[in-house]
Amino acid sequence: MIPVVFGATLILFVMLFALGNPIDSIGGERNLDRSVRQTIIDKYHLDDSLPKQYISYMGNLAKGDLGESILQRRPVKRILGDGMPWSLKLALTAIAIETFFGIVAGVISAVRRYSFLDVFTTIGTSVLVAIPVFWLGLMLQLLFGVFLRNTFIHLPVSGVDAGWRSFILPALTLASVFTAITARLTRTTMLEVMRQDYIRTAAAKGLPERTIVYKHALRNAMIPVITNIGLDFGSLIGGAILTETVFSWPGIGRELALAVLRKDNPIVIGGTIILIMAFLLVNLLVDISYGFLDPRIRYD
Amino acid sequence: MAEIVEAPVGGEEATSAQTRLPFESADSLLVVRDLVVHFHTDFGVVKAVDGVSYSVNAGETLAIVGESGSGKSVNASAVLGLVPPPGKVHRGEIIFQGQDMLKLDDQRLREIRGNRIGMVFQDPLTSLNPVFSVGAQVSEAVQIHEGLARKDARERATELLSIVGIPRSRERFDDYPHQFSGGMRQRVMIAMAIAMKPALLIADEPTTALDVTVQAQILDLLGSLQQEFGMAMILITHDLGMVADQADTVAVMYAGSIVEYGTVDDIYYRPLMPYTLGLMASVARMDQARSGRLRPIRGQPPSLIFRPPGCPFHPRCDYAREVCWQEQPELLEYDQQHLAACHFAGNLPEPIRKDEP
Amino acid sequence: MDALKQSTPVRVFLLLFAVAIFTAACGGGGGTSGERIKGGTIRVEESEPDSLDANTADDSEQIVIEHQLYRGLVDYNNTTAKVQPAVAEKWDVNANATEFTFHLRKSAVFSNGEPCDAQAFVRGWSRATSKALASPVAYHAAGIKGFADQQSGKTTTLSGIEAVDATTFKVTLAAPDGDFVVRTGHPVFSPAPKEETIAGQKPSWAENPIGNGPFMMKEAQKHNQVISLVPNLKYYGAKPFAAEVDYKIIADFDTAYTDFTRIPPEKFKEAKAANPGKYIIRPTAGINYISLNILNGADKNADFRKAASLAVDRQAISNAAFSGLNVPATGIIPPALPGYRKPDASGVGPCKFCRYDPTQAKQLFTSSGVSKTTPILLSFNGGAGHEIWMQAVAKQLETNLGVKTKLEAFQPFSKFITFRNGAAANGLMRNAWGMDYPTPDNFLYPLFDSRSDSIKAGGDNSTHYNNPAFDKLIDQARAETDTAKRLKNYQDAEDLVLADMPVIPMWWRTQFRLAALDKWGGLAMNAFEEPTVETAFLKKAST
Ligand SMILES: Nc1ncnc2c1ncn2[C@@H]1O[C@H](COP(=O)(O)OP(=O)(O)OP(=O)(O)O)[C@@H](O)[C@H]1O
Ligand SMILES: [Mg+2]
Repeated sequence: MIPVVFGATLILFVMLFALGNPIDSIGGERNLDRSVRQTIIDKYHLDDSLPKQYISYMGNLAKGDLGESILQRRPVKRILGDGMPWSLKLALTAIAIETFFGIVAGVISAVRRYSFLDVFTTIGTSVLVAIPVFWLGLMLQLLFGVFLRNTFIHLPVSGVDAGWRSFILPALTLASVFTAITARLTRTTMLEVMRQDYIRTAAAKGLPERTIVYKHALRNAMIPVITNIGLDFGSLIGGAILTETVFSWPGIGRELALAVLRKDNPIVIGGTIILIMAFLLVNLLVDISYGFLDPRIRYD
Repeated sequence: MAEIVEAPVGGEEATSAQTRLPFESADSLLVVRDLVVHFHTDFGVVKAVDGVSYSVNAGETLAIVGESGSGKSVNASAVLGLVPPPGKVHRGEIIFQGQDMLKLDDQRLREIRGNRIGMVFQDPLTSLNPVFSVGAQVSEAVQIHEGLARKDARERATELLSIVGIPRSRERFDDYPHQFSGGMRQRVMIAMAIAMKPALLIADEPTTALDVTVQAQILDLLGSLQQEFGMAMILITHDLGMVADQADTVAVMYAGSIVEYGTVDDIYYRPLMPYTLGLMASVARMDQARSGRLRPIRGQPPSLIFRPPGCPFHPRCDYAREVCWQEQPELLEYDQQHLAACHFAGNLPEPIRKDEP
Repeated sequence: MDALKQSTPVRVFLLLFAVAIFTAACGGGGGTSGERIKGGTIRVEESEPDSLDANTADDSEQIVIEHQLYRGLVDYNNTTAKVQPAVAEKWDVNANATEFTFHLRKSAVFSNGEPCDAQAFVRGWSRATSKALASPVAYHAAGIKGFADQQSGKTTTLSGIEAVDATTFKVTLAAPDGDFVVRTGHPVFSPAPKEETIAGQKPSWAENPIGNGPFMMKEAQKHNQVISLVPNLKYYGAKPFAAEVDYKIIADFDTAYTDFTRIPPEKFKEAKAANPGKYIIRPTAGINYISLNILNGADKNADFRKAASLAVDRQAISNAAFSGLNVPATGIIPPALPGYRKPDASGVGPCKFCRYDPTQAKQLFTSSGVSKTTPILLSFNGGAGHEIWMQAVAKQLETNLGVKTKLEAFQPFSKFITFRNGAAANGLMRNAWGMDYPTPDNFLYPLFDSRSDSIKAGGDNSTHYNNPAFDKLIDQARAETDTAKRLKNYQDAEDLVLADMPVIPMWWRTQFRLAALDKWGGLAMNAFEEPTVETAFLKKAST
């Protein structure tokens, strides 16, 4: 994990350094007064050489200090700390949606292959995979926030004011692609598993189809599916950047998007480190939980 | 309803339900008549089983012998109504204990599967579910048919595991298939298959995937269980030598059809058909001094989509004459209870080709 | 606070729908009774400000809130933008406008009860100019004695300010500035409570500041969600009627849920039609213009600059691109400011080259000798809604002057600023300026004084206009304590600029807001483009 963080921060530093001095983004259209500019540069060491900035950043990082946002003048740790719970909650909701709808749709289309539902799911998942996330988000906003505004199925389209209802559209948007992928993966794995010898064995025992599908087949099909969902979780936190921006969601994705636009480098770097660590952590957890799903790995 | 035994069996002009098969009797547990199973694939129709008839008497053993791809497993699956898609039973009847399996509804079929007919599959590793403990899988077999409570099922399953010779069965109950050796896995499969003391046990190449040393043990186990429970058995194999001791009758399959059918002695000592001869030559006969190297049958089994015209074996047959690629021979009784599908059955001419590969 | 809220094409598209829905969301008609009902929550559309620390207030999203949390020495009349007493009840100026003595009211306290006395201003101003804070808006105090020492960290208390006693606050400037009092209404000059109070605020001062204005924080800022204010019952002035003001950080789509909402000018026509009686249009103190680099290429030629200015039909472009909302500029000092001069009957104001006159344009262009074959560059920051009108300008230059043009959209924004400020800048460059405080100096000095040159001094004079006579007039104006004379100096300076035309004034900024006027009385837009939440009241009791 540590080498990854080292490497990633170095690459980020070089890239951000090449993009110019963040001081240029302070003040907007107005130029900063010379002395004020210098004072800010001095405070944040913005004129230091790249190696110097990198070394001092890594030194602070070792102490758990992610620095301070140049524009927001708050510790990056706090900025990300404020956003993290919202991003996590959104990601968890999206995972729940992905898991439930993805698996149900996948299993149904595998069991009732070539049925209306299967064809519908296949077309639906292709569409979902192809639609850009932000466009889907905007369309959902338009539909539920504008066209259905005065109906009972109207839904909040921004912020987190409305309790659980606030989660619906952003979580659906965020989950869309992943749900589609999970549905497809479930379908293929189920079909694959249903061809296995042990399914025939189960049938030869006289088990009803229900037990065969939902006990013997599903349990095996879930191994790659759950693993994949676990890995999605890492991508979801990152993938939230677009969704959070579209829905004004107070998470770290939106914070990061804004920071990139405004060259608020400490947030960009700190946020990226957090995302990388979250991703690695999730991978680790997935590796560990793999053993619970698959006894062959548990005992090896 | 007794009729002429010489009536042709199999082929297009199939027999009526009234036709009596060579070994059929009032005692017959299973009678399969004119079974046709086709697979409709993208490449064409695979005629995996193409008009097969045979019978098994209670307590007796039928060995079905044939090369890989000759339709043995599909045939066995059909008996349990488990032909995998895209396979379909097109014709025939499968009378088990007086009921046509093909006419039973799902519910009834399930009552028979695993209960009155047990099945042991070819590859014990892939045939056991990797994510459930062996104990659980055996318990399931008892539970489903007897409605036993979990605890009782566990007791019964442990007992079954020790019956099939798994040492320390109580401790090993919660182990997973991958923790067992091949032979032990096959014992688990057998425990599952005999859990309900079925009247018929179908063993589909139960030893193919195993070490030679273990093969004999498993066959012994099957033999003793058969004796103990009085089960009838269909023993599928491509090694006639292995089952010579156990079988009462033998059916030789080639390209989806039975090409020779008779008592084990007839087939073993008096084969009528070049393919059976070839099979015999390709196995190590225990009663003969090793007189030379084992000779596999020359060539490849035919495509089941585009079957060769005439006798399906003729491209590989050393004795083939013109008639062989023009006319398909029918399965006819040449001797008492000894049938063969060959134009020159029991009367082979000189071999034409050298049997060099 | 000069940067317009940027509008992307997607946003504009979506707003179309949102705007159409506004009517329905706001419900029935407004009450007409004169009764002022207390209570209710005003929701104001807002973007996340970087900080709520008044001493660092550098963007409009932040300043709109500071104006409610704080009262400085003075503030500005919501309607006229004129300076009026706030914490300072009155003030004296010395003869050359270098010493200002403010007499504070006794009743001013912070919302936590701490006195808002002269010391509070010493603390606030010292903090605003300190090296430790590194405030991006510290330069507003650059004229005060000791500013440089504060910035360098040599001192921690600004030496040019003094708490003579609890209610007397004295400021000494390094150079005369007759308009200094006007500046002190800017939030950077806010008072501050005791150090311990600032340090003790949870989770931090910048998220939960304590002020002395009509409103106070209801709770700490909820990042990216909402900033909620409630009336400050200790405020010395008239207490607000509304029980709460929520500045909501929302997606463009949700605009129908707010009581005060920004709409880009190009969408105002639809919004207006869909929301009769529920919008506000107001000219605000800002100017949109085109700047040139008078040290480079064709831009060097004054006749070319004048010709270009005469060649654009401002009204026609406004009609086409902004639904006629933007009013053609007739000078540099905007209408909301003191010193503004009205155009004559023919529509000509201080700017003699701002009218549309293709004939004279052609003549001037011919006499300029500028090549017709070298394309004139027209540049702007892309993706911010400037494409349409810049294209229209290009078209008119081609038609009326016969020149070739080339359009370039820079992205990101900072790239455009770097180009415009640099020596390579050339052609016609989009520009805009909004006021920090209502004084002509705020428009003239930063944009045209040689001491504010973007290359030499890092200022905002990116035209590099350098006219000693102009600089002298600015100094004269600053040293003048007589308001009328001072304004005259500024107007003379404005005339000098308009004779040379280093910029092409385009439009006075005019702002459009959707506002729930049916629900709220006393709700207007001030010259800073902010909602006047401190005077807003419910027209009828809400259910
Ligand atoms: N699911 C299927 N789809 C298509 N064809 C199939 C399928 N299952 C079996 N077949 C075909 O049916 C024919 C008979 O297969 P079967 O498994 O019965 O052979 P076998 O005699 O059991 O061979 P082996 O000794 O290898 O087990 C083969 O040619 C095979 O290609
Ligand atoms: Mg087989």
